[in-house]
Amino acid sequence: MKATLALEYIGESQDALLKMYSMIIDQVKPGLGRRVVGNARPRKPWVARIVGRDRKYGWTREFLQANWQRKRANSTHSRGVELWFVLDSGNVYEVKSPTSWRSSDRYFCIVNGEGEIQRIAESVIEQWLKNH
Amino acid sequence: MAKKPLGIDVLTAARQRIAAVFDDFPRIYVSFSGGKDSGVMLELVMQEAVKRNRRIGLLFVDLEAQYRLTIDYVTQTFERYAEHIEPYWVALPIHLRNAVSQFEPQWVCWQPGREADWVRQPHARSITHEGYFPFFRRAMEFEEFVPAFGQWYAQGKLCACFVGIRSDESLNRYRTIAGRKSTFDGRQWMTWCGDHLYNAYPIYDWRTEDIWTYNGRFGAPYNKLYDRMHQAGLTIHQARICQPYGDDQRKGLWLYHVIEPETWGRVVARVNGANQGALYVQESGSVLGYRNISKPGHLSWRQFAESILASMPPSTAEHYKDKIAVFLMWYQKRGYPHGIPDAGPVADKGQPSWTRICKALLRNDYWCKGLSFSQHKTEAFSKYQQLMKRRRSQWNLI
Repeated sequence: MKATLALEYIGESQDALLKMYSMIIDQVKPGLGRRVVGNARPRKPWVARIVGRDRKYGWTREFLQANWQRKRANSTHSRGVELWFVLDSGNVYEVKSPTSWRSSDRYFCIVNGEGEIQRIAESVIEQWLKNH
Repeated sequence: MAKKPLGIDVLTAARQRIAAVFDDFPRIYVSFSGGKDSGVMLELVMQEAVKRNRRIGLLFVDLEAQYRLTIDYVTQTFERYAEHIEPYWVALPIHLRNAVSQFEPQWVCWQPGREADWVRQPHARSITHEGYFPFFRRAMEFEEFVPAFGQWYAQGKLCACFVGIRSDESLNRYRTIAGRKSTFDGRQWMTWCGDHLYNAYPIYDWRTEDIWTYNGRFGAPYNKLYDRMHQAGLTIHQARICQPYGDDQRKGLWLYHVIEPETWGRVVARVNGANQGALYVQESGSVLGYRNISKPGHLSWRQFAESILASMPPSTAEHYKDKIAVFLMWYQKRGYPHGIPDAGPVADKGQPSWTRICKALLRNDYWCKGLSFSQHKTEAFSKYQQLMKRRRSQWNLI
């Protein structure tokens, strides 16, 4: 069974502007844009499938592609832009979900047999990965 | 997009697609019209539902002025699968297109207050209470109701709606399948409709012959209206069922009185212009704007358009003037500052002309799709009309 998860991308239009500036600066000198502007999409929510352990990042993640939806966005697209992900049972996922302009929620979850998303503690992931 | 043979027959492929949807989706319903395609698809879906002992939603939107044989078939289908379906037989006042009248370019089926004129009474199974669906507004468009139902039915879970369209039916349906879109898991035969809802088209690669081969080989029940259509001389490709007053569907209106004269009598009294449509829909030329159109010799195309507008009921004429004003202003800013040409090809959407405007008016193309407009949403339409009133007084184009 699968499930959908919608995450709001707060500040999408501002991030898009940053990305554009970064690309313009890159045309002057490749790589300079990222150094000047920094991460061009710092607020973008994401969902990643956990596939194993990683020394540097803790977990090895495969980031999911999202469907973008703007029908509930405000006129400037700073609020209401949604990213819709499809999650599959049999996998464990890590989610970064913005809750405001400055903060976001990070959690792990699975999809149960009824197609519902359930949060799980990070401590049980190791065991979960061994079992599945 | 080139066809890629899958190496299996279409029946096996459809069954595999349906099984894949049952594997992945917690909420499933079938959009059923009573036609041959959705009928066969429903059979296949219900076989899977019975095998897995799952209940699925079955949506039928009853448009009032429908063939009695279609209603008989739908009744039979709802009864056959009563144990495995959540039935949604909807008989609510919904706005429908009426392409055969300029006096009533849209009509409302099951319109409250006009019960005496209804073609028939709602079926005992049907949902007639307007408060049943929280999203429902009286006289909402059919095109708005169907996706809103899907979102409501999903109840916050991943939801699939089985739709029985086939890509060889029309170019629009081909584009629905093959066009660029958000799919599910890379399955081109599924389309994301926003939020939790996906449409699934498991019989998209079937041909008309496949539908009838299935019915013949497996003895599946089907709508007996098709037998009547066959007797009336239609080929299996021409026989199609839909509410027959739409822009494209009106071509089949002449059949109604041949197939079900007893229902036709009530339809004529109920749907404005139905008889006119039945009489003239086969004509080509200026009568209903099919193929090549002509104008009176002493008038220019612009004068002809103005005379057609002057002959229309005021509300319909105002509606068309709004559209024409936008059309003219758009081209005024894009290469035609002194106005569009009077004469031009009617089929070329890249070339504006008053000929094209005349064709749209003669066709009674209410949403002016021939002038590259699209249909409005109900809630936005009254605001649009107010806006256009202001703009037209500023532009002073028509």
